Amino acid sequence: MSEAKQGWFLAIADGVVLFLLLVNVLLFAEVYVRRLRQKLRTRRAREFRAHCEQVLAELDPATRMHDPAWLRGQLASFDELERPIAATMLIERLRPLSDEERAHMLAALRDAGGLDLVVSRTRSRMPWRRALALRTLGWLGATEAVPVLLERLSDSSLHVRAAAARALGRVGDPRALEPLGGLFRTPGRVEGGIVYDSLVAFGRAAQPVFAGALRSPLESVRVASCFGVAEVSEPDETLALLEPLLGDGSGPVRAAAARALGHVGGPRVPEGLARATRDELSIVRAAAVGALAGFSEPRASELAENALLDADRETVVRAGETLVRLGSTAQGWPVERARVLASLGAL
Amino acid sequence: MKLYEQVFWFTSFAIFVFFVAYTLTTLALIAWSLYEIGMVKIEKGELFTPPERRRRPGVTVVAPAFNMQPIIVECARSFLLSDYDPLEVVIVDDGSTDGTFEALEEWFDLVPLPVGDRFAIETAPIVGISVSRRDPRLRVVRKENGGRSDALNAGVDIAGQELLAMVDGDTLLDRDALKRAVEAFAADPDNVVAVGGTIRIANGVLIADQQVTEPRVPVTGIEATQVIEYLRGFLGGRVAWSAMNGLLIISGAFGMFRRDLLRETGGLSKETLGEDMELAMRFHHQLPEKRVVFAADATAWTEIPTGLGPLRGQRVRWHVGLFDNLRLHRKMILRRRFGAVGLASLPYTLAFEVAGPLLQVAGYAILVVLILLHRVSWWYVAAFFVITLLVGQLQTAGALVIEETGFRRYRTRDLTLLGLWSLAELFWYRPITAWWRTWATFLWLTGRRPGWGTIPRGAAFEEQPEVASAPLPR
Repeated sequence: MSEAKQGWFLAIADGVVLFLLLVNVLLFAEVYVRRLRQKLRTRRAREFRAHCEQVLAELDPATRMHDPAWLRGQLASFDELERPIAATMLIERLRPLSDEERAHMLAALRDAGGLDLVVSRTRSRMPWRRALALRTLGWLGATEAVPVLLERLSDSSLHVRAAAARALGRVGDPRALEPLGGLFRTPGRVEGGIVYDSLVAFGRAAQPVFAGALRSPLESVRVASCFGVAEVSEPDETLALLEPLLGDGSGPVRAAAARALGHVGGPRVPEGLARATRDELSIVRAAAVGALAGFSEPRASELAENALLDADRETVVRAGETLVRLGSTAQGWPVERARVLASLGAL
Repeated sequence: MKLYEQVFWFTSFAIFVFFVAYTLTTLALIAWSLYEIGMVKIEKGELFTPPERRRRPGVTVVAPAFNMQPIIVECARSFLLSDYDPLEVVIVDDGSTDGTFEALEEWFDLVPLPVGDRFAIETAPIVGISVSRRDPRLRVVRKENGGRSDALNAGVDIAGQELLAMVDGDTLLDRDALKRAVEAFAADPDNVVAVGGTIRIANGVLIADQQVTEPRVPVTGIEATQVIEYLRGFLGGRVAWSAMNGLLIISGAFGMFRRDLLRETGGLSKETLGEDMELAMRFHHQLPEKRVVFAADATAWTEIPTGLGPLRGQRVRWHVGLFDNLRLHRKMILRRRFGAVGLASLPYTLAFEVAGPLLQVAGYAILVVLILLHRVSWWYVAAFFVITLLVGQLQTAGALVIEETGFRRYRTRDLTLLGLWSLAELFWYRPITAWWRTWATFLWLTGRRPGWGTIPRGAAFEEQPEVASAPLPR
């Protein structure tokens, strides 16, 4: 290799080495700078928490607010680091409170101009800050913020839309029922499970939404509606609404209806559920047999014992578990009987 | 120029091209992963925790166990301690001879259930199925020995919930790991069919109540280097592959699948040594419109080999498994129908996982020959080594930045330790793993199969003096 070639190569190699060295140093420095910054933020957050505790104590239902002007000044002085911490601490304070206590805190916050601050953060540039503001409004139960929450249902961020739906469920304002019902019937914009949770939070008021959705052409909506009906309806109503679904054309829907009936339970095994233990689809039989554990009638044990003879292994195992569950709450331990049957070669 | 010189220069050129391409590709993957993790942070913030849900899909945790008598009860308890509901745990005793089943039977008060005679997936004969009176969420399957895939298939067969989490018997799951993995399904329920979690190294960590309370990096080089390797692989690679739906593997230590699809596609393959990779590739092959995703925040902890012997066995097995899977799914390569898998992941795997080790070993061989012939230019060698070293460090630094951005699980001194061990990696770890993979290539080409081997288990889970509550016992 000529000297000239070697010089050319080494010049390039020097450049590459220098470049790589620089990027390496920068990246490793970034790691340590991030670590250092986090340490400082943690320390600042710890100090702020103590201060914020005092500020939030002014909002406590038991505390008579001394000086709204002071509180307003304090809330307005929170910076970008402090505001999310304050919001999270506020949520933690709100979590165990009753509705009346929350209303008191909301009123105190409103007087101090804090509510406007939170509402203004729902338009923050960062999606997580918008979502946190929406969560805070939800926990506060701020009905005046419902239009903002409804607006955020069409946010560009999926996570913010979900936070808005969740907050609407917490606020429980009837204006939100129809938009949430629409999202439930046509899933996609907001994750179905979150809309479901929000609707359930409305309690009985959401029953027409779930009952109506039992006729949805979408299988997944009918499945979710079965559980929704069971959550928000009286047991008799649930039975009346769900027993027909045990004859639905879709297996997953029949299985969901059976499981939902099992969650509600009761003293007597519904006739439809007993029939479902002999359904043509094994997923329905397994669900129905599992649901029997919710019923105290001796017939539940009999049906589960019969299911021990099922050809489908999942149904058989589910029957065994049902017997175990029934045995621990009702008339004793039926597994010996299963053993006898097994020893006779019946299984 | 003589023929041997032509071969020599061609190989050298190929190594150079490989090196440049490999460097650029891996750095691009790390940059993409960093972007993805950063976006998640922007979207969800630092304080994100999976939301509480009233109705969640049920999860069955299936864990195979073979001769795990000393730790099986604690492992089963650790799975049952997950904060997920509805949860079911299926432990499959794969023909243990050391009293694994008896230990479970005694602690959990197992009650035998009828086995039934219909099987969705063919397995070695099932001896019995039991359910626990102490915690009815636990089912235990006892079967004749058939290997890991066979045991998992038996668990798949009796799993009763919609989603199925496959774990190793001695995996420690973070308490919210199942919740976080399920979130990935919930985010796109119609398209996501499988979710893989991040696997971290359990060696050296502090454990209390079957939970990792303080992640630490083990001090020995062989273990610490594997920590770096896992960080690079999971955070620096899989995040990006997942974003483009090109993820080729869901680690056997922790993966979650839709049970119905798992049954329909026949469960885990017994034809390959890389059954976890094969499953992910089969999903891509049979359901190209669906997604296999990586949930970086769903974490499981697993024990790694502490000696060169077991590590060698593991790596040879993995590499032979890789060849098996590439052969089984070769029709996807460079086919547009399979999207990123066909056009990016598989070509990447062929170029850097299959050809890479061979070129690396060839490079070392050429260097030795040049030294012997006194034709080596030490400037070239020095420049090459320094550049290789810096590129390796760049990958490590990238992975550490991702770790700091998204997770921040390790102490500062652990990060320093990882950086230092990473410096040494080039001089021992990379050459020996390249050599093992070359050996595995030879084994596969000659039709020979490595044995399963064993990794001595339990050392990572020893009681740590700093922790008051009981860890997993030996």
